[in-house]
Amino acid sequence: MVEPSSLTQYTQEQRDCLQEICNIATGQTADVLARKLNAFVTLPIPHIQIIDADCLAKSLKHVDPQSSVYAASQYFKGEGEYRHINGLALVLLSECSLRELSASSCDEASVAREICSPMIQTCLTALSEQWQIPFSYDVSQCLGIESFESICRANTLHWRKVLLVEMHYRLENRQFDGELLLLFPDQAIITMAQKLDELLDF
Amino acid sequence: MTIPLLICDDSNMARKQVARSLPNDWDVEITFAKNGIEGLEAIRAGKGEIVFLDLTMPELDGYGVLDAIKDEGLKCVIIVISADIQPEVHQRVTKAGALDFIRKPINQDKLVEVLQRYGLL
Repeated sequence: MVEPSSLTQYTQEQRDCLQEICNIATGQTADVLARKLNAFVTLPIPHIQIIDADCLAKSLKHVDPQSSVYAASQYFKGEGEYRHINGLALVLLSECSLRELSASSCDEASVAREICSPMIQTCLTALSEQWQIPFSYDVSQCLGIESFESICRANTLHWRKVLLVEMHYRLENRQFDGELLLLFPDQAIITMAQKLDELLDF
Repeated sequence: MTIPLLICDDSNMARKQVARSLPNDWDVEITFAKNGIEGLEAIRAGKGEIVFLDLTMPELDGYGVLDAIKDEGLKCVIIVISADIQPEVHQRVTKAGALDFIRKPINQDKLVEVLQRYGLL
C-alpha cells in the first residue's frame, strides 16, 4: 500500500531541494512576522506532503477541519513557460490568535491586510527568487472566519492531487497560532519536479 | 596546513551549497554531518576546526550544538548559516559562542567576505 501522505512522486533529491527552498521561505516569513509583532517566532520546519485533494481538509497537523479559523488567501501563478506552476497561499489564524493580534497590533478588520498579506507576499517572493520564476498574483482576499473544510471545498474544487506545504508559526511567550499553507495542484506538482531537477543540475 | 572543516546541515542541498561556496584554493578537508549529534561527534574527533552550522535540524539543533561545545570546552570556530534571519537569532547565536551568522541561501561572495573579516583565509 502506498502511504498517502508521502511525497511518493518526488525523488529523495527533489524532496530535499523543495524542503530547503521552503525552509528559506519560512525563515523570511518568520522574520516579517517577528518584526510586525515585535516578537520572537519559533521557526517551524515546513511539513510537505502530496495528498488526494479530497483529504486536504483532514491533513493539517494543527488545524481541526471543522473548527473556525480566520483566513486570508492569494492565488499565484508562474509567468511564461512556468505558467503551470500555480497555486494558492493561505494564512489561517485561530480565533484566539486573531483576538491576540487585534488587541495588541491592529484591529480585527485589518489583520488580513497588516499581517496575513505581508506573510503570504514574503513567502511567495522567497519561492519566486529561489526558483527564479516570476509570479503573477491575484488580488489577496480576506475570507473572514470559516472552517478549513469549507475553505478547501470552495477553493480546490477541480483538484485531484495537492502538494501541501504547511508552516506552523508560534510566538515565544505569547499566545499565537498561525498557519501559512501553500497548495499546488496537479500539473503544478509535475512542473515543479522539473524545475527542482533544473536547480539540482545547476 | 590543511584545515579540518565541518559542514553541519540536515539538507543535502544546503551542505552542497556551502561546499560549493568555499574559496577554490582554500586548503581544507571537508567533513559533512546531517544533524547536531553527528556534528558534535565530528568536532570531538578533531574534524571541525572551522564549523559551518545550521540551526534547525533534527536530533540535536544548532543551539544544542553550541551549548555542548561550550560545556565541553571544545575548540572550534563556528559560523552559523541559517534560514532563521530574525535579528534576535543573530544575537542569540553569537552570545552562545558562534563567531558570526550568515543568512541562507549562501553564496561564495558572502562566505568569503565573512572568512576574510575574521582573518580565516
